[in-house]
Amino acid sequence: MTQPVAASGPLPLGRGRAAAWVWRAGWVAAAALPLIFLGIFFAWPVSSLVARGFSSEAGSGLSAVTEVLSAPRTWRIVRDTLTLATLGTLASVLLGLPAAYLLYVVRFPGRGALRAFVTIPFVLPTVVVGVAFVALLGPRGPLAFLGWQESLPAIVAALVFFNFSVVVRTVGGLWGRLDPRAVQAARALGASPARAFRTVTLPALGPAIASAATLVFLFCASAFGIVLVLGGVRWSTIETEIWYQTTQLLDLPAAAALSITQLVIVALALMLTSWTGARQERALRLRGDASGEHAWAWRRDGFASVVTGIVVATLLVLPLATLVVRSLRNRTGWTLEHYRALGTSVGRSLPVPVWVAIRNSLVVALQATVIALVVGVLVSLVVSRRPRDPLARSGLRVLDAVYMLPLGVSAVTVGFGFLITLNRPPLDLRSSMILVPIAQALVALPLVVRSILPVLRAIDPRQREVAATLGAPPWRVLASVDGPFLLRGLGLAAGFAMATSLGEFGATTFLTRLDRPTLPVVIFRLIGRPGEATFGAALAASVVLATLTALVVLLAERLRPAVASDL
Amino acid sequence: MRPVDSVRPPGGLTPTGPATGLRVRDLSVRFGSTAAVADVDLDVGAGGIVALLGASGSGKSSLLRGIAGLEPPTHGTVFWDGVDLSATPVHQRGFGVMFQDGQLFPHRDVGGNIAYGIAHLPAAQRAMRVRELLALVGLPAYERRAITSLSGGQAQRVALARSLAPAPRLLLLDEPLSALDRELRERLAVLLRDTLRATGTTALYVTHDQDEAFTVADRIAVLAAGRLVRVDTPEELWRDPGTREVAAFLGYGPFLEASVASALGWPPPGIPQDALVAIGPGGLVVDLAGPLVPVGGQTPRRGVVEVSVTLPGGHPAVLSATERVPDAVLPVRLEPARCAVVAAAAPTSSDPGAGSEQTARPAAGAGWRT
Repeated sequence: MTQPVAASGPLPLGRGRAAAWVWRAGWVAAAALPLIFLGIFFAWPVSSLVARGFSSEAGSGLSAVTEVLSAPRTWRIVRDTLTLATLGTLASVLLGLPAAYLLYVVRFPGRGALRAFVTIPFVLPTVVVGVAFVALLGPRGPLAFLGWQESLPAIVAALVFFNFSVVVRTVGGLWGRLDPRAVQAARALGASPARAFRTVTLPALGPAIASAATLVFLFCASAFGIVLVLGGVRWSTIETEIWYQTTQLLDLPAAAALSITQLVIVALALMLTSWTGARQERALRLRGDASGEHAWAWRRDGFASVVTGIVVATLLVLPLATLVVRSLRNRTGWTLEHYRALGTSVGRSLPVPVWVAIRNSLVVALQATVIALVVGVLVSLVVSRRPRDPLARSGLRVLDAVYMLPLGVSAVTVGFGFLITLNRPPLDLRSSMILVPIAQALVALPLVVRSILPVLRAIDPRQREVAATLGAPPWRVLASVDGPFLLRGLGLAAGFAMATSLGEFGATTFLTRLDRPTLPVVIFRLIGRPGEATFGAALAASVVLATLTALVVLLAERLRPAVASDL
Repeated sequence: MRPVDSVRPPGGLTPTGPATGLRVRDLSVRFGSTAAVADVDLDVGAGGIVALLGASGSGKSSLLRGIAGLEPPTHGTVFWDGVDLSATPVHQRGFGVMFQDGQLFPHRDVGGNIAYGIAHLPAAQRAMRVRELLALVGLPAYERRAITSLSGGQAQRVALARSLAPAPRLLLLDEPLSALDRELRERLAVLLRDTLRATGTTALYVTHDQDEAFTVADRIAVLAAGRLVRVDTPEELWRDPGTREVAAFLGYGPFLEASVASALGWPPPGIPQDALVAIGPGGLVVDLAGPLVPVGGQTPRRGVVEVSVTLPGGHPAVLSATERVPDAVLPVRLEPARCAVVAAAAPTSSDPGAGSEQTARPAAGAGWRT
C-alpha cells in the first residue's frame, strides 16, 4: 500500500538542478560585475591615492601626509571647510524647518508647484549656482552694494540655495505623516502650542532633522564648484585645495594627503548619517495613518509663511532670476548676443565653440547614465535579495557595505584618483575619453542605487513566494514581481544620473581633455576670464545648462510609470 | 498524551499512510536556536481538508511554509503520492499558498492576478478559467478591476481564486481570513469550505480561530509549541479533547479535580484521580439541588447575565443566568453532557513512547461520560 521512505520516486531533477545552478551562477555574476567595476574604478584609484599620500618623497624622509598636516595653510583650509559646512548646515536646517512645515503640513493652493520649485535647486549644477550668485553679488549685480563678493555670506547663501530642499523634503516628508493626535493629546492635557511642539513634534522629527543635517553637512563639506567659483582667493575648502595643488602647483603628494584628510572627514559624516538614518527608520514605523495636514490659517501659519516667502524670494528666486535677466542684457539693454556667442568660441577664450561643449556634455551624460544604470540596477537587485542560506546572507551584508562605499567619496577625490592611476599602464584610459563618463557614473551611482533599492526592498518577500507557489520559475518571479517595481524606480534613477552627469564638475575638471570640454568646464573657464563678453556667455551657457538639467529631471518624473498601487 | 492514531500507527515508527496525498514525516523547522516545528508527522488524504489549529507562535505557519518548500526543513521529509519532494523547488511542487493578506500583485488587475499561475494556457482558455473562478468566489465580471479598488474580503476571494486557478494538488492556506472582521470571516469560512469541496481541492488550513477550523475542516490537527498534539475530526475533538492543553485551547475551562467534580454533582463512579473535568460552554448550570457557591461579579450580555462564581477548590468559573442573581450565593451543578474528561498532566517528554503509555485512559474516557 505504501512506499518506504527511502524509495522516493524518480523525479525529472536533472534539468531542474542544472537550471538552479545556471540561476545561481547568474546571481554571482550580477554581484561580481559591480564589484569588478568598483574595484578598478574606485578601490584602486582611492587606495593608490592613499598610498601616494603616505609614501615619502625622495630625500625628505617625511611622508606627504605629515608634511601637509604640519603646514599652517592646511589647518586654515580644514578650519574653513568645517566652518563653511557648519554654517551652511545650520542655515539650511533653520530656514528649512518652517518651509518643511508649510509645504508638507499646511494645505494651500499652489503648494504642489511651490514644492516642485523648491526641489529644482538641488538638481542644478554647482557651477550654475556659483555663476548665479556671482551675477547677483558680483560687480554690477543687483546686490553688489553688499560687498559680498568672494565672502563667507555669499558661499553660505549658495550652500543654503543648494541644500534647502534636502531639509524640506527629508523633514517635511516625515512631518506630513506624523499622527496629529499626539499633539492633540498634549494640547488636551493642557500644553500650549509651543510646549506641544517642543515636547511632542520636535522629538518625533528629531531623527529626520539629524539625518537631513548630516546629509547637508556632507554635501557642504565636499562642496567644490560653488566654492571654486564664489570663494576667490580668500576662501578655499579641502576640495578646492586638492584641485589647486594638482592643477596649479602640480604637487600631487600634497593633493593626495589632502584627499586622505577629506576621506576621514567624509567617513565621519557618513557614519553619523547611517546612524541617524537607522534611527529615522525606527521612528518612521511609528507614524500614524491619519493625515496630519490642515488648511492654512494666518495665526498659526503666518510665521512659517513669512520666513519661507523671504527665503524663496531672496535665496532661490532672486539668483535664478538675476542669472536669466543678466544673460539677456548688455550695457545698452535687452539682447540675445550672449546666446549667439554660444555658437562661437567666445573671442578665442575657448578651444571649441560652446555648442560643441553642449554636445559633448550630452554624449558623455548619456554614456555615464547607461553605465550608472547598469551597475546601479545590478547592485540594487543583488542587495535586495534575501537568501535563505546564512552564509549567503552574511556575504550579502558585506557586499551591501562595499557597494555603498563610493557614496562618501567626493567627486574631486574620484577625479584626482583617476588622474594618478588610470592614465598610465596597465590601464591607460586617459586618451580614450571613457574616463569622464565612468567618473561621472561613479558619482551618480549612489543616487541611482538610492532611487531603486528602497523600491525593491519595499516588496513583500511573500509576493515572490506566492509567485513561486503559482508555478513561476525564478526568472519569471524576478521579471513579474521585481520587474514592475524596478521600472518604477528606473525612470527617476535615469533622470538623477543624467542630471548629475550633465552638471558634474568636480571629477570632470581633472579628466576632461582640453579639446573635448563639457559645458560646466567651459562655464568655469568663461567665468574665470575678464571681459563683458565672456561673462555674458558664461551666464547664457549657465541658463542653457540649468534648463537642460531641469528638463531631464522633469522628464524622468514623467517617465515614472503610473502604477495601480502606491506601496 | 493521547496518541495521534491517524499519524503514527500503533505498529511502530515505519512511515506509512495513504498512498495518495500529502505525507509529512518527522518534519522540523528551526530558526537559529528556536525550534518552530519539531518532529511533525501529518497526513492529508487526497481531497481532504485538514485544519492546523494552534495559538499564535505555535509553529503552524512554519509547518505550512516547510511543506510548501518556502522554508528549508532542518530535517524530515515531505511526500506527495509517495514521492519525496525534498529536492523539488517551490514552483515545481504544485502546492498553492494563500497568505493572510492575500499578497495580490499590485501591478496586475484582478484577472491578471488570477491568470498568473495559468500563463501556459491559451488565452481563450485562460480567460474562461478566470471567469469560472470569479463566478466560483462570487465576484463575476471583476476581471478588469484594479487590486486597490477591492475591499479586504474581496481581495481575499480574489487571492483564493488565484491560488485555485492552476488547480494545485494541495492548497496551503495561512490564516486566510484572520485580517477580516468577525462577520465577514464567518461568511467567507463557509464560502471557502464550499469552494474547496466543489473543486475537490486537498487543503491544509492554518488558523488560530477554533470556529473557523470547525467550519472548514473535516479533520483538525492541534499544534502546540511546534508539536502536533492531536489530529481528529471536529466532532470527536470537541467531544473528547484528550488533554487539558488541547481542551483549554478549544475553550474548555476551568478544570476540576475528581473530588470537586463529585461535589458538584458529577455522577458516580466519578472520574479517575489522574483525570480532570473540563467545563465546556453551558457545562455549569443553576440547580436548586446543587451546592451553594459564592457569587463574584455579574456582567450583563445580550439577553443573559454572565455570573462569576468561585467553585470549591478556588476555581473561578462563569455561568449564564437569565437575569441578575439577587443573592451572594448560587446553587450550581455540572452538566456532564457539556463537559469533557481530560488527562490531568501535560506531557513532559518529547519521547513518542511517553504518549503511548497513556493511551488507555482517554480511549476509555468516553465511557465515563453520562
